[in-house]
Parts: sequence; structure tokens; C-alpha cells
Amino acid sequence: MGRLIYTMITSADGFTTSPDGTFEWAVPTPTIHRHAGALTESLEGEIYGPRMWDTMKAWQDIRPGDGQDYGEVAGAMYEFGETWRSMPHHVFSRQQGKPLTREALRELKAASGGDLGIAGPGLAAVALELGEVDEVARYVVPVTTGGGTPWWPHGLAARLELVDHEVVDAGWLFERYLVVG
Amino acid sequence: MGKLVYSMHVSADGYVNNIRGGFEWAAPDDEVLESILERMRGVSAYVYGRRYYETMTSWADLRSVPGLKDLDYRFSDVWNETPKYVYSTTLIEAHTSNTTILRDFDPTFLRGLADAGERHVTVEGTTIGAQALRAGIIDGVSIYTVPIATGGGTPFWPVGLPVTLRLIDEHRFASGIVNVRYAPVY
Repeated sequence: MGRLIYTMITSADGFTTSPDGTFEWAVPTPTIHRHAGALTESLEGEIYGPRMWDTMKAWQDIRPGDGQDYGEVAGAMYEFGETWRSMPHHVFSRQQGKPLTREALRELKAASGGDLGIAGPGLAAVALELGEVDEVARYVVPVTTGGGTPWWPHGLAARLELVDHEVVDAGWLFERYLVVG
Repeated sequence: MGKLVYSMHVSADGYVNNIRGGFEWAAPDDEVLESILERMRGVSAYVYGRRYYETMTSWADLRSVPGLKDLDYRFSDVWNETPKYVYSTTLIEAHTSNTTILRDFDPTFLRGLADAGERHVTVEGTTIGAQALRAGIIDGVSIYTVPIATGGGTPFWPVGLPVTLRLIDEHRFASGIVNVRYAPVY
């Protein structure tokens, strides 16, 4: 039985993208890459929506000798790619006839030997509204976007319990909250 | 030169009140209040929006109220002594000590308040905070993040204004409230 952890990177004002949908401000340093890699490694699997899958699927091919120049973050990226490829990914998409449901989430959690991650604010909003998210783990970038996609769903109030708060690198904060209800 | 610091409590999803305008969830516990009081001693003036000022008037003249905690009296003393500037188009007169009502936002005046002394000037209230951020006169932002999501309300950060920040420090309180301090990079 695993818990469900909503993981994301947000601006200081709580958005996962700028108003135009871009997020070039969310580029991690090698230290942040390794921190996020350790977080990912602590998970048994990840649940994505179609857009998050499109963003993340590039990790299928990021490895030494792939012909790309990643500069100073290359080592951290190769490590993350290896971690990412070693874990199962479950992609849900309403458009593709596979919507995320309470039953599907409960089945995945029951079958998992450890914690599961869920990423992407749209999909996570569904899971949060179903009351199935046990914890949120958020990187806060020292920038405000002034708008964009909010990390937390509008209209959903919840009490949280802070379990971790630290400075990671380059002004990025990492915080973990239990969703109390 | 003192710094102009935009400071408020904020929910984890970025709001200073909930969709009904309530912010009872943001009431500081004693550890947080003691820390805020310590900071307030280093402040030469408070600049408020009208709504935030009206909330803070509950700290006025508590010495006349019997049976409160020592911390409440000490907080009230500091609040009464410190000069207060309130931005409002509707308030006719203030019934609290050392209080000046200001009608129109004037960045030169506000900047001058901070520049005139060695100590900081705090700015509280989202309307005045947004005006000061847009004017580029804010030196520091101090957020007390409360472990709650409100799902809506008045956002702390101005909508439509991207700001690059530098993290100054963060401090975690036992209650799960976290104080994060940033400096805007203009």
C-alpha cells in the first residue's frame, strides 16, 4: 500500500507556468537535479497526464553517448534519466478514454509497495479533489510569474501539515506538506 | 537608509484571505507573534492598506483591557508607539495613536519614509503592496506561509507582474508556519 505524493515545481506566487504556458524559469541546477532525483528515487512509480508525459518522455533517451551537450548538468541529467527509466509510469488521459478515477487511484495505491508520485497540476487537481493525495512536495523557484497555471486547484480548501522545509540551491525552496483534509 | 518591506501572512496556495474574505486561519501563534514583535521593534513606521489597518486596530490600547497575556500587552505597546500611515479613500479620521491617513499612492513619499531613517518600514495590505512592487520601490518581501490551502481569495503577489527574487532566508516555526524573506531584483 503506497501513499500518493503530488510533486511539482512552482513560482513563488504559486504557478507551474508563466501566463504564456512557458516555464524556462524552472531550470534546475545540478544540485537541484540531484535533490529531485533522490525524491523520484524514493517513489515506486509516477502518474502523469498527457502533457506531463509529453514533457517527461524525453528522459527515455537522455543517457551518456546520446549525442547531446548538456554542459555542467550532464552528470545529474544522466543519473536522473536512469532513475526515471527504472520506474513505472502510469499515464491517464480523459481525451484518450482513460480518465483518472478514484477506483484507478485506489487500485494503484493498493498494489504499490511504496509511495507513488503524481505530477501535472490538472491531473493532480483531480486527485486532490477526490481526496486521494496524501502529501504535496513542492519546489518553490525565486521568481513570480504574475499568472499561469495554479499549482493548487481553485475552490479546494484543505488543512496541511508541514513535514519538511529546506533551502535546496540557488534560492529554490523545497517543502513537503501532508494533506490533512 | 531603511528598507521598504512588503510583509503579510499567506496561504500555501498564495492568498491572504479565503474566498469569503476570512483570514482567521492566519492568526499567529505565540512563537510567531513573539518573532513578529521582535521585528516590529526594528521598524520605524507601518504602512497599511485600509482593510489591513482595520484588522490591526484590534491591537490598539490593549492596556485598558484586563486579563490578557503579557505578549498581547507588549505587542499593543509597540503598535501604539510606532507611526502608522494608512492608505484609504474613505477613512475620515483615525482613532488610533500616531496615525496618518493618506489618500493617493505616492512612491516618492513612501520611498522617502524608508530613506529618512536607518530602520525598516513595513508595507501591509495587497493593494498598497502591489502598487509599491509595481513602482519598484520594495526592497524586501517577508512572507509568513500558513500550512493551509484556501482555494481562492486575494492573492498576495500582484497578478500580471513577474518579479525576479533573491532568497534572503527562511525560518520554520513549530506550528508549521514558515517565514520566507526575498529581495526583488529589479
